[in-house]
Amino acid sequence: MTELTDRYVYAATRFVTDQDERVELDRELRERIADTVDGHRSAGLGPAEAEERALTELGDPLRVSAAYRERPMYLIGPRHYFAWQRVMVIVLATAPWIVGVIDLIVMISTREPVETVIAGTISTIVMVAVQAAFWITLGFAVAERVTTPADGDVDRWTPERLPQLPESTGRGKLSDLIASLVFLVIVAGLIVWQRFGSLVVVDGERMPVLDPALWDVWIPVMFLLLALEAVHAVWVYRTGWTWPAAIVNLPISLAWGALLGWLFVSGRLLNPDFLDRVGLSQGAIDRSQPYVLAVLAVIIAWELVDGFYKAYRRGRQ
Amino acid sequence: MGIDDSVTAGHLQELRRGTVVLAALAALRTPGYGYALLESLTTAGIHVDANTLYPLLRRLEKQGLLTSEWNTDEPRPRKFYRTSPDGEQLVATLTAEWHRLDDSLRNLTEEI
Repeated sequence: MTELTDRYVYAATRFVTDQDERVELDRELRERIADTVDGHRSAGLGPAEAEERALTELGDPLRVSAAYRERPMYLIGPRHYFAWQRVMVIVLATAPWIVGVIDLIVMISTREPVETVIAGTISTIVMVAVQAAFWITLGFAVAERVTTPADGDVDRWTPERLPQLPESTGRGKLSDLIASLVFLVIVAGLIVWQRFGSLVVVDGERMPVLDPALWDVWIPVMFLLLALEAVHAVWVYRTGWTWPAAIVNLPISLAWGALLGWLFVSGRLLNPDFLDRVGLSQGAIDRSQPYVLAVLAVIIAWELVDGFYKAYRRGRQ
Repeated sequence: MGIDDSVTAGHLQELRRGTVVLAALAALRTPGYGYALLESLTTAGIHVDANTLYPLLRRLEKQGLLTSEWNTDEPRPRKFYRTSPDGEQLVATLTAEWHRLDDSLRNLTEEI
């Protein structure tokens, strides 16, 4: 045995933590190398040449070690690959953007300079995406090594998982139209109801939740927006989610976001007497601002993305 | 246009893959060590790569189809493998399957 063989065996066994397993692998490799060298020598090669050839034939010691010990030579194998891919797509399509929007709102509400807001939001989105991808991959790589094929397929497929066929071009779904219209009617009803039927009664008079001053201009604007949404819903039903439908969805959704956000931040949305009555201080309202705005932003962003995604999917057919 | 050589080589390798297990289990009814088995299989016309055979012996041992023992009588210790009773049984099963496949394939290929 020469130093070259010793180095080879060391390279192949040094990461084997179990003592018995390492000794066994060491002995087996030495037997194989010695026999192979002898074989080459009896074919007429010199000692150094024979050893060189034998080790070259064995190949990368880490690979040999993995083959002997039946360790996977990949990070995530076919058993877990599609589960990994599915989780990655879902998480990367949602988490970074939601956290990014919340971060954006918080920074805007704390009056950071615009460069800081933009740079901070981008770095938050990138950081969340990188972190999510890393931890998901690490989790699956560990699962690959601690589970055996005998444990069965963790992500067992059944025919119920088959996706629906893409909706035929042309009309949208009637169920979507009905759901939209019912929702809009409920919202309109709530606006009226909170004015005349509020559950908070003071001195025999019902106390509105929204600031009564809004009835001059902004509540009529809300009704106008609701009417526009209804028209939009009918349009989507008649033509499907086209690009123009998705684009028109943009100003309507943004108008909702801007209107509600602005009224809330400037303290004009809720009735001060009502807040007083239910024991909410202005301080509590102010502190809740970033969170309320964040939730609002997520809802609006979802609306927009949903519209464009549906238009994109439809366009691909 | 002829078939690509590498395509042919790949399919031949696929076809031979399962036969190595049968050949090794059959040969090791007489105990032997890795290199000797490699040589005897080659002499018998079963071509197998050392990088396939050595890990395969370990795997078959893990599955209980082979037993092993270190022979330290000689100056150079060698691991001797021997086919276990389970291994014998598998040899019988695989041999029967081999003949069945041979018959089936003969019927198929002679029809052409």
